Amino acid sequence: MRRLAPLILAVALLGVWEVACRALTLPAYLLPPPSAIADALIQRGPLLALSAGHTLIMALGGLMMAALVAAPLAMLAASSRWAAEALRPFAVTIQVTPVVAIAPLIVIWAGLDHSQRAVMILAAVVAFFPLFSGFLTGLTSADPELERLFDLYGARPLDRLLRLRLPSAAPFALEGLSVAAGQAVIGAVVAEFVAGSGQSQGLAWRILEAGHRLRTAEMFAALFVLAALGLAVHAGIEAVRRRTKHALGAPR
Amino acid sequence: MALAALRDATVAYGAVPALDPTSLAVEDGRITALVGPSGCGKSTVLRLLAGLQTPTTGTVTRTVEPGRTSLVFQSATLAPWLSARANVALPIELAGQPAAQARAAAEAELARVGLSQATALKPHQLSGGMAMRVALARALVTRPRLLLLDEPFAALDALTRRSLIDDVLALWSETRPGVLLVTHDIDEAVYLADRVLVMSPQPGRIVAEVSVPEDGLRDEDFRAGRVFRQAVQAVTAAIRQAEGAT
Repeated sequence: MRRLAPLILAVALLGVWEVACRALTLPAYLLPPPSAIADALIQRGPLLALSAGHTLIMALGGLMMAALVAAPLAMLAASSRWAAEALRPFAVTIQVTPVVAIAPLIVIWAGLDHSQRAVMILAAVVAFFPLFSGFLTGLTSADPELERLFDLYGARPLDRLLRLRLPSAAPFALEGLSVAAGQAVIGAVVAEFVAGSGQSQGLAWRILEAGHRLRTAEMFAALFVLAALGLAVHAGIEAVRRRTKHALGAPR
Repeated sequence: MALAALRDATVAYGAVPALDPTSLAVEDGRITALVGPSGCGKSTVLRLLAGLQTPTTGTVTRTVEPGRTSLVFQSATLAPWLSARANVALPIELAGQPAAQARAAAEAELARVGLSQATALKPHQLSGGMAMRVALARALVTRPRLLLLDEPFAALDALTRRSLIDDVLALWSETRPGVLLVTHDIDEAVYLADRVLVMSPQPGRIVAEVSVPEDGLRDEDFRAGRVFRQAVQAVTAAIRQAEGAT
C-alpha cells in the first residue's frame, strides 16, 4: 500500500487539475488539462520519442567523453599529490561554473554549424566533476592494511593498480557515474536550449518549438518525456550498481 | 637463528616518540609474544620487523628470504571483491606464479584451515572466525619463515578464539616458522609463546622478558597447570610494574 502512495497522490493531483481546468474554463495555452496533455503525448509520441533518443545519445556520448578524460586524470591525481593539488582548482572551477554561461562559447568553438558537437561537449563538462571526484575518492580509498600487505608481497605498481586500487575504486566510481549521468542529461538539455538551431532535434528543441507556437499541451508532453528519460537513465545506472554490488563484495 | 632483529631501534613521528630504544630478535622455530598496553608501539615493532617501516635510529636486520614473511592483522583484511580462494591465491600470484598453480595452492591451504567448503565464498558471506581463517591461510600459503601476528584473535568471540588459537598452534608445529605475536591478552601470550616480552606504555620499550618453559603439548591441561599460572602471574606483575613506573 505504501508503495502505491506516490501513484495515488499523482492520480489525485491529476484529477484536481483536470476538474479545475474544466470548472474554471482556463484557456488551454495557459494551463491545458491533463487529458489534453495525454492527447498531445499520443499525437506527438513518435516525434518526442525520437527527440528523447537524440537527447539520450548526446547525454551518453557526453558521459563517455567525460569518463575518458576523468579516469586518467583521477589516476594521475591519485598517484601524485603534486598532480592532485594542481588539478583540484581546475576541477572545482568546472564544477562551479554554470553550464549556461559557458555554452555560447562552446557553441562557437564547436563550430556554429555543429551544434550537436557543442551539446555533447557541454554534457561532458557537467558530467566531469562527479566522475573525477568519484574516481579519485575511490582510487585513494583502498584499505590501508591491504596496501601494506601489497607492500609486503612486493607488488608491482601495475598489479597494485589492477588488483587493489581499481577494484576498491569501483563502488565510488559507480556512485560518481550515477550522479554524472543525471547531470549529463541536464547538461545536454541546457546545451540544446542554448545551441538551439534548426539542426537541433533534441527534447529541448521540442519544448522551445511548442512554446513558440503556444502549444502548451505539447510543452507539457515533452517535459513529461524528459522526466521519464531522466528516470530511465537513473534506473539504468542503479541496475548496473545493483548487479556489480555482489561482484564487488558488498552485502546485498 | 634470528630471522629478524631490532637493535636499539627507535621510532619518532616528528618530535613525538613512538618507540624508545628496543632490541629484540625473532628466532626461527620459536613463538615470541609481545604484550603491552594499547598504543605502546607493539604494531610499530611489527612493521619494523616486516621491513615496512624504517627506524628513526638504530638498526633492523632481516635474514629471512624475501617473500617469506607473512603478516596477519586484527581484522581479516580480505579484498571484499575476491572469493576466499582468490584472496589466498593473491600473494602467490603477486609473486609472479601462474594462476592455476596459485589457485591449487590456495585450495590446499584453505583445506588445511578447515575451509574447503568455503573456497568460492566472498568475505561478506563468511563469519568473523572463518574470515580470520582465510587470512591465516593467505599468510601461510607462501610457506613463511617469519610470521607476524598483530592481535589476530582480538576481534573474535571467546569460543572462536580458543579453537583458532589451537589451530594456529597445530599449523605452526607443521612448519615451525619464527613467530612474533603481538597481543594485549596475557593468557593468549603465555599459552602460545615460549617467551613473552612486556612493553611499557607509550613510548614503548621492552621492560621484562618472561620465558614459558614448557616443551610438552600446549592444551587445556597446560592451561590448567602450574607453569602457565606462574608465567601469567609473572607477566601480569611485569605489566603492573611498568605501568607504575610511568
